[in-house]
Amino acid sequence: MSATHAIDTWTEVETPENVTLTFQLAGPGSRIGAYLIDCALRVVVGYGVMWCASVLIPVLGQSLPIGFILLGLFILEWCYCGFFEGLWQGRTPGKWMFGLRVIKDAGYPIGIYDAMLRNLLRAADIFPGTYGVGLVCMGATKRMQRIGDLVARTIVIRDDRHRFARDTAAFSQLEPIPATECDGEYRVSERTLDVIEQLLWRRSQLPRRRVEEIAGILAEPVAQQLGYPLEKEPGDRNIYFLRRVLRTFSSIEEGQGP
Amino acid sequence: MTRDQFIRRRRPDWRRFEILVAEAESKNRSPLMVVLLNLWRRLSQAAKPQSLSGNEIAELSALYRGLCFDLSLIQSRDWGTSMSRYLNDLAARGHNVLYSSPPGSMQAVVAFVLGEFPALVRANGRYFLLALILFVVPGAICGTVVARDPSLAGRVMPGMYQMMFDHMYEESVSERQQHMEGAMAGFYVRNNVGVAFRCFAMGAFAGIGTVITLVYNSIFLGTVTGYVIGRGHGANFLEFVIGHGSFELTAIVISGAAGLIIGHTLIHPGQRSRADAIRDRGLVAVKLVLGAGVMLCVAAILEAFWSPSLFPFNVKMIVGVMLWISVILYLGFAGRSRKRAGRIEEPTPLTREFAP
Repeated sequence: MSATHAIDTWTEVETPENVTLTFQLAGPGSRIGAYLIDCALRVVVGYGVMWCASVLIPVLGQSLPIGFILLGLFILEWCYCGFFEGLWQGRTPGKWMFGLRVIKDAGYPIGIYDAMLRNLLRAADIFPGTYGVGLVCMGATKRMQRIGDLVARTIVIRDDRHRFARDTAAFSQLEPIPATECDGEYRVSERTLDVIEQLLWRRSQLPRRRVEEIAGILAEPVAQQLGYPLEKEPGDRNIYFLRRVLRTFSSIEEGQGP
Repeated sequence: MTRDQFIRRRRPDWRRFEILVAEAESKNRSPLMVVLLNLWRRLSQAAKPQSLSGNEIAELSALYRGLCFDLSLIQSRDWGTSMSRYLNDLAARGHNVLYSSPPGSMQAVVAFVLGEFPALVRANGRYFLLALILFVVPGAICGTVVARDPSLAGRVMPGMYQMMFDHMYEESVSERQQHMEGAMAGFYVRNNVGVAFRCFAMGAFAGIGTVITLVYNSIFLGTVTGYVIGRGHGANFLEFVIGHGSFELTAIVISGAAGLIIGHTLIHPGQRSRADAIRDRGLVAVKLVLGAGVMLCVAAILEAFWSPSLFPFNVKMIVGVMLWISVILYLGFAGRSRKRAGRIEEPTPLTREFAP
């Protein structure tokens, strides 16, 4: 990952061990989604508290249950996110559902003070209603931080688990390309294999013609380097060839999975 | 070493690491229950949340160092993104487990309230003083003016409020018992702590928001006080507010001071970058505002249960004054001995060793 990232959602963090860890930042879209889930959850819990309190009114009289309701609303308003993030490794239920997590911008897990700080400052991010300041701030900063994130020095990342293995099972029925059919160097670099895999992975998201076009651009130099006689017909042949390349040159070790 | 050889040789370690990390993380897997469990553990200190044994932690950290080496190795070679992402992911998880901050405890909360918080208030005395001036001076001016001519109160608060305050303080406290103490406690917590937190958060706008909040509240409270005094209900008013005012007003000033810290750090980070400066000062500010929140909860209980109670005027005044004194003593002196004990001893001068 030594390539420079001009505009994308990756951010790099250098650890005390002198290793660069890479995290994928969460954008406003998924964060708003997580926020809405949290809001919905809070509304549900809020109504639950009110219902419980209303049951208690005949027993305790009006005063105490209303006090409980107001106290509950206060906790839901001001402490919900802070407590969850502080005690649950930077997640709230909404963030958990969207696979998001809050960490310090140096890669550390956040503590309770960081969590409270970034969530108290929500009041500033919400400012002219509907998170105007927060959204502008996220758009203007490199790591998509709202004011609460900037002051608490936190970032919100995607908490994905990456698989190590290439999904070789998908190609196992294909014939490998035999070395005897190739006149050139019988080797394909990992980076090229990555690109091929990315293309095949995104096949369902792209228009068919576009995939074929890219496959053509990709297949030709690979075939040339291998010295493999690739038919000059457009379309599916190229994709088929690329899948075979992936089948042939993916390492056996990887096929076993981690 | 080829890529395949490398993977074959290192994979057992990665797998073992993955198992250990998963075990360490497992306490966070099932969502809500574990949060509550963790909360309980933290408060009671019944068990360490870390589920790994000492040996396992030692093993984990050794494996982690190996993993970091692997990661930097494959980052320097062109061995594909799938592997580097996988290792990056593992390293990040290990990093998170190994560097997680020590869990808090009930002890830490008590130590914070008894020592750390007042010490922090004193250490940031200049901000406190500025917030105090902002919170007292405009209100004092408005109060004095309005007390002389209550009709001027209309400039600040609408007639509806004036009638409400007339009604509230016409009679002494004993005549307006409503048996709503519990509800009022909840209301005071939600409202007052909300005001304090918002006052703090607005400090992020270069401190301007905090200044506006402080001055606005000061003018409003000053006008109310002046109006009630001007209408001749001063004694009833004082009887009600003197008790909880000690905690409430001080806490608002402290949250204002915290907001000013944020604002000042953003405007003038000093010799450091803004990001570096805010790391230290932000922590101080949030500790101050959380402490202020605790004070406001105390104030809410006093305001709901003590202030409208039926004790005679003199008793309430005496207790009120004592509460003020205790707040001042608490903020002025609590946590001093702890700080002295924690101070680093001056190193003994080397000259003695060279002396004949």
